[in-house]
Amino acid sequence: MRITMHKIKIQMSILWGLLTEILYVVGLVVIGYLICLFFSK
Amino acid sequence: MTRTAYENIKTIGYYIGKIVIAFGLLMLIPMVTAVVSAEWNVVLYFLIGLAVAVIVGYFLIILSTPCQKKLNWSQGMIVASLTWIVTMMVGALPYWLSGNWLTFLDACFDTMSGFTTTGLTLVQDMDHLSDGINMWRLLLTYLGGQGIIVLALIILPRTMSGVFTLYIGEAKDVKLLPNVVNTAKAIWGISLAYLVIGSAALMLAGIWLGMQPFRALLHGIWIFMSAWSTGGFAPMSQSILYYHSLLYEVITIIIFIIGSFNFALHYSIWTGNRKEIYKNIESVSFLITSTILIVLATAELAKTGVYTNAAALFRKGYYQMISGHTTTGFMTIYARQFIHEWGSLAMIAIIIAMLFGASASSTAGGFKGIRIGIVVKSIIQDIKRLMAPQSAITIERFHFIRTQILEVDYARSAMLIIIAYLVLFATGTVANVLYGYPLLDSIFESASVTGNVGLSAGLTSVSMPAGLKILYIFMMWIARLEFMSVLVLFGFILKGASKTWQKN
Amino acid sequence: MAKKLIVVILGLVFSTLTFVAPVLAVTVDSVTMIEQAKEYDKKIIIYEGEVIGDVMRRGTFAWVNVSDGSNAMGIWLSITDAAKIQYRGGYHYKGDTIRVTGVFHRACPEHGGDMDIHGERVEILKLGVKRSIALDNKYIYLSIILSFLACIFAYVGKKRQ
Repeated sequence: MRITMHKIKIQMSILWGLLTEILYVVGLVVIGYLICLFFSK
Repeated sequence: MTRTAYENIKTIGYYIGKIVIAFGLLMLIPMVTAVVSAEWNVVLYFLIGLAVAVIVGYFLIILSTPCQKKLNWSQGMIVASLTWIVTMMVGALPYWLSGNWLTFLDACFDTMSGFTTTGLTLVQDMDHLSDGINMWRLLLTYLGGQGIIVLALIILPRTMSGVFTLYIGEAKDVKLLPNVVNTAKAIWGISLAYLVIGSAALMLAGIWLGMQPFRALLHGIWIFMSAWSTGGFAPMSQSILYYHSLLYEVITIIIFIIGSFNFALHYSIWTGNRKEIYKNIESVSFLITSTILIVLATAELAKTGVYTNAAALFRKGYYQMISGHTTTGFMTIYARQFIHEWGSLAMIAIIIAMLFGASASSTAGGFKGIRIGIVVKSIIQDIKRLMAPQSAITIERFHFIRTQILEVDYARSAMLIIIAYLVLFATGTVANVLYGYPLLDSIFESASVTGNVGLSAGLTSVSMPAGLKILYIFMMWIARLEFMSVLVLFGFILKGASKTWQKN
Repeated sequence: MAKKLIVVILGLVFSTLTFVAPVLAVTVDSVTMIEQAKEYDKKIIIYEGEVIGDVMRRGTFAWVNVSDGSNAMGIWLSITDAAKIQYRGGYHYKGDTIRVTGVFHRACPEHGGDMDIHGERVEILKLGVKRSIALDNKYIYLSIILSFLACIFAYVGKKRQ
């Protein structure tokens, strides 16, 4: 039981990690788009 | 030859032999692809390649046994650097046999370009390339991104000892876990997890964009492998422009930015330390340099007036800039458009971005964020010291997984490597100019090779002189391995040569 | 009344132009297009080449990439025009050779700055064919011999370890 809980915890942590990375990069891309928007005519 | 030198060579030969066999077995993947796509000649090319790899590998092993199996520091470095050369030649065989590369040198150029995740190519008639050969091209990039030796560490763990030097020799100096084999496994775990997610996303996008499911799947896997490794090879000659899609471009941007992160950063975030992503010196450095350079390039591109709306600036300006900064090399414009349509300032911005590169211990090339961060911090520290009263002690800190005090040694080694990159960059530029290419093209191409980027202003082509091809192969190799292991190899050869000289 | 007349006359002029323009249009290859993009920007041109890869349908239009040997160019076609294409170039096939008449864009504002051609007329010049790729006996023998040698080396190598 304890081992399964531990495994689930690790998997959740990895999942959150993945999501954090993807969201951070999406944020970067949005900043990039805003820069382009700023300079467009 | 002295007895120790002979023993050294035997140990080195043994390890290279083992790795070459493991590398050869990987040809089974493109072979299966060729079978599925009914490309029977291509199956034979890989069968021949695999057989040669096994023959070369076991030949080296037979010559080297019995030998001391424990690797010392310099042996590890030499194995790391030489492995890349030997596997380059073996890996180039199927290319050469396929006839899509005119000479064996061209085939070697493309293998090295794939391994080092550069992405410059000399292939002919790329749009008629077989699925098997395409799989091999992109697989080589994927392997090279993670490190050939990092992979070998997993395949051949039992027979290897003292392998940490091998790992360092391949310019991966972070230990995610105490045991180097487990570190290698963690690196591959991270890459494979993203392989599944990224390929699925690209495949679905491909189907939505009007591709047939099987082609969408293959393109999804290939483009993922290339983007994740910040490689830059693409299955079609137009690179990412082929897909004519904002969606595909955004997905690839996300993949290659994540791919350009340090494996230590991934590991840290995945094990729960999520704040690391905006505290880490490399992500901060990347955020700052990329923002400044993108502002410069976008302002200039808007001024030249080729790209008028935000969508065009984003898909042409931003895409190329980020592709250059992460050292990927995917393009959504034609090579010559850099020269004709990008203003001088935008060109300078992208050249700087290519030289800076992304994170250390990642799939990317260039100076790397951590070195830029450390050098900037140490300059700040010096200024602070000059401004403070003499008795005061100034301490500068930086955050990489944990907050560390900036020591003079860190700054020194960071500076040394940056200088080495600059020397390499200058050498490439001078060579290009000597061969008669225009200055701007020469600088651009040299920056692209030095940073293992793969963007091209059109200089890299089959008609390029052979001398330049060999120089580029050398530049890609030494830049990817971050100088050290290659220099140890040269030191070893010179030492051996001078000893033989003295004897005579 | 005068206004209406002007509109009618203008309309007539434009419609004749669209009919005549293709005749006036020049054939341009991809290298010239890239090198002298500024000159041909927004002009009607003729481009010939082989269809490669996929016909990617987007609503009532489709993207087709056409290669003239030096570079491949993106062509934006109506799906009725795209439907004329039978063979797409790849390892197994040589694609249809087509002639596209359309407007060239150096950086198409509609398609995020792509360099492309909005095809208005498409003709199939030559149908594609299956490429004859026979199994090469030379490689069959070579692979058999080398595989046999590889087995011997592997056997000896394993034994010596």
